Amino acid sequence: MLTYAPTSGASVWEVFGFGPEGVASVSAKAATASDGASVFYNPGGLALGRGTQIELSGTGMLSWLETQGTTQPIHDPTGGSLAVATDVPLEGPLADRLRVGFGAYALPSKLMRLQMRPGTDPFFPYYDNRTQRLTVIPAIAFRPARWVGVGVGANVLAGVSGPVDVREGQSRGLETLIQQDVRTVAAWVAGLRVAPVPELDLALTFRQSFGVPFHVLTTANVAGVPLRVEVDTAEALYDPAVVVVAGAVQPSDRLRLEVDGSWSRWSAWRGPLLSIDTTVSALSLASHSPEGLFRDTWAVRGAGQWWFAQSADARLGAIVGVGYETSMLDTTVRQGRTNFIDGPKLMVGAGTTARFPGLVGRALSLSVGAQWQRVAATAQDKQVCTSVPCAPDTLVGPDTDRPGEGISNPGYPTLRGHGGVFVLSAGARVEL
Amino acid sequence: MRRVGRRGAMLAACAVMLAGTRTSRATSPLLFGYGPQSTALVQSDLASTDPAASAYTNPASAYEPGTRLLAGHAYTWTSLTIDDRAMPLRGIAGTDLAFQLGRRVGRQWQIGGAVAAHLPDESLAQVSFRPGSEPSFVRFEPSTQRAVADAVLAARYAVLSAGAGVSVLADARGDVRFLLGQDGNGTYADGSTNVELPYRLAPLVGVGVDLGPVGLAGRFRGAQAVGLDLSTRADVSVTGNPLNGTTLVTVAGQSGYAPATWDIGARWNPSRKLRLTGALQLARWSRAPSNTADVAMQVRLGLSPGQMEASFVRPSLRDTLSPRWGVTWATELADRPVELRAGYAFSPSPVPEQTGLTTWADAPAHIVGLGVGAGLGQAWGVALRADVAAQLWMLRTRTFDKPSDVLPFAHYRAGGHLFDVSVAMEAAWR
Repeated sequence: MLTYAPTSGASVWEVFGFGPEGVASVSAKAATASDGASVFYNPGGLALGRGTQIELSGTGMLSWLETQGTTQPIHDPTGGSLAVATDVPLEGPLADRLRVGFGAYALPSKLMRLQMRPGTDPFFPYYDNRTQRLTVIPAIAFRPARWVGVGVGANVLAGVSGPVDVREGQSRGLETLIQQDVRTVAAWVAGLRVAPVPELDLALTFRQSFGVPFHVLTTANVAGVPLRVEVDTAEALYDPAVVVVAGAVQPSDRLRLEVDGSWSRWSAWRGPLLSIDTTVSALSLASHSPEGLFRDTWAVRGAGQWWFAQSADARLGAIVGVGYETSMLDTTVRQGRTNFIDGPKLMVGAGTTARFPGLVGRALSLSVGAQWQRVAATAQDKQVCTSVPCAPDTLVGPDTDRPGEGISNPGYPTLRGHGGVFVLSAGARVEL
Repeated sequence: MRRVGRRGAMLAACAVMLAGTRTSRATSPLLFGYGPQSTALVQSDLASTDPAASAYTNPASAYEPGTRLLAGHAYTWTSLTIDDRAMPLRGIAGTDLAFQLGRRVGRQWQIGGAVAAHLPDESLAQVSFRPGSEPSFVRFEPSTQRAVADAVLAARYAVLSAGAGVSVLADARGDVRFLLGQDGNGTYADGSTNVELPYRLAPLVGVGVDLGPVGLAGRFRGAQAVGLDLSTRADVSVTGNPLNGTTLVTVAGQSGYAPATWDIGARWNPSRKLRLTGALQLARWSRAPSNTADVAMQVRLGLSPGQMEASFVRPSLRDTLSPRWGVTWATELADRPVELRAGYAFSPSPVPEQTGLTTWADAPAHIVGLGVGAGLGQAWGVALRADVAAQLWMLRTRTFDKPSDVLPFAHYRAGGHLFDVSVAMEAAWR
């Protein structure tokens, strides 16, 4: 089921950036990436690159996110990325116009981890269970003119649906009939890149939202008693639809500056919780996920790359980046049983790159990048139910006669959270 | 009624957990071959592999200089019967995508790498657990419904070549919990999961010797199965409900086994136009684990007994030795190179006589393949080739007689046909 999601989307790159340069520049790369990382940042930029680039990098994360006085770790905090971009050697009208790219992120020991928390757990849904999975994006890009590139990539996803039936079989024991289908789901990444003059690049990127659909309807019949359990999550491992508009200028051979603005449609998310609908021996129960908690976010990111030292054998550059993103949680909406936490984020990145022409292939580049994401402190006072029936945005204790007493919700009386995440990435790129 | 309800809760927990398992890890290429060339030659092409398909067919051939891209599709019509009644099998169809890149790195050395993927049409994989006592074609039903992803590296020195790589799979382990509870406002349901998919890598190894008109090859593909270790915990705490308590159901086992295969093959070109190929495949079905997961239920509902376990013996399948022969005739048609291919193989059945509750169906099969491949010339600087092949499996009708008439499906006959068609386009930069 969950186990059958062999591939998924762009989460690690969406949250922290692709490779050391992406991490250092806080993902302000949509108007400058033309290597393998462009499959994520802007497939249109892929078309404006040349030759073959292969980059291997490793990324590690360290969390200081804190809720209710407890640090929230990021599980499986290390992984490796592969980025490949190459020309398609065609002749005739397609000569020098077509390029392909491939980006992948893999955890060291597992394909993925799917973790859906109980509804009362305090956690940061923006960071929780978004980076623990394989990511694969192949892309193709076309250059209709020397200064225009268009490209498209596909996040190939998989979801599960199907029936499960359990009953006593001819063996007089439990026998199961399960027909679960793991179907492909594709989410698109599309990009347009325009370079009207050599010193200016403009970019537009759209990344389709995606999640891992999972829906299992279980039925059983024992001695005439029907049983039904429906477990559903339409959007596990969710990433929202994103639109990025970016511009970059290169005032000199040594300096390049970029500013990106992005909009992420978090308001379409149905939330990080499992939906359960059961009927067991005439007892029907259903979970109720809160609605209207998530809102769209806006972000602005800026980065600069400065080649500060240059010789015939080597070129050394520095990258700095800074960004800000609004919270994906609407703090004006009071939560009941749930304890989701998020806040505005400040991102600061820095890194360095050393390029050695002719050392391996056309050039070998070694890069390292670091990023600090700071989540502003947030707090929300919980409201206690005073009389039954209770409103969904209130907390209730075990006793119907005294619903405001004995509340054990971990977010009571005040839900608090803040903290940060430190990310470090290092890699090597070969140009052929 | 009370007992039925409790048992029902256990079953529901069990069912939800089983829904979280994955199976069906054998592959369509295992049966029919990867790509039209291998399909037409009924997998006798071990020593004469299409380099584009080398990641699957023989890793030792991935060194071949040049760059090749293969895209194809295969579809299988099935007509399998039990007691002359059709056993509907899910459509076996999928897309093949393969890439191979090789370079000369000296006078004697050539190196390369290849990847190959097979993506079933209907779904990337099918989780399929049938009740053990129901009839099923164990070789065909689970074996054709999952994706394949192989990656290999290869090198050739003088007449010797060798390649190795992995076929990437994943196990599944973790837990699913759901809580049916009650507070001052009434009942509620809650749930959580923590499931991870650790990698499982099956080794792929190939060797080859190219002596000009004669070639020899060997291949090993590791056994493939998915290890399951998943548990579901159901907590019910509703005032006055007879189901209150905890049920923990654990499923563990190996699912969807595809056997390790050892292949040896040979090629002989008696003339410039004629190529004969042969191969012998040993499939280690005897190592197959039980195809039914072990189930353990710990029930804390005040029932006795509080713990129930069900485990199943290994199925005692038999190793099979399958000989394969192929012939290829190279000619020209309208000034374009054309290859005509044919093959024959015999595939013994790994399924022994059925003596218990299981009702597996299978039979030895004669396999015939035909195919043609044609060069299409150059387009935009790329050499294009098209291939098409068909393969027919004819299962000998086999009668199963269990020792006792009270056993389910005590007497039945199994047989039928499968007809596979494969087409592909290949682009090559040399």
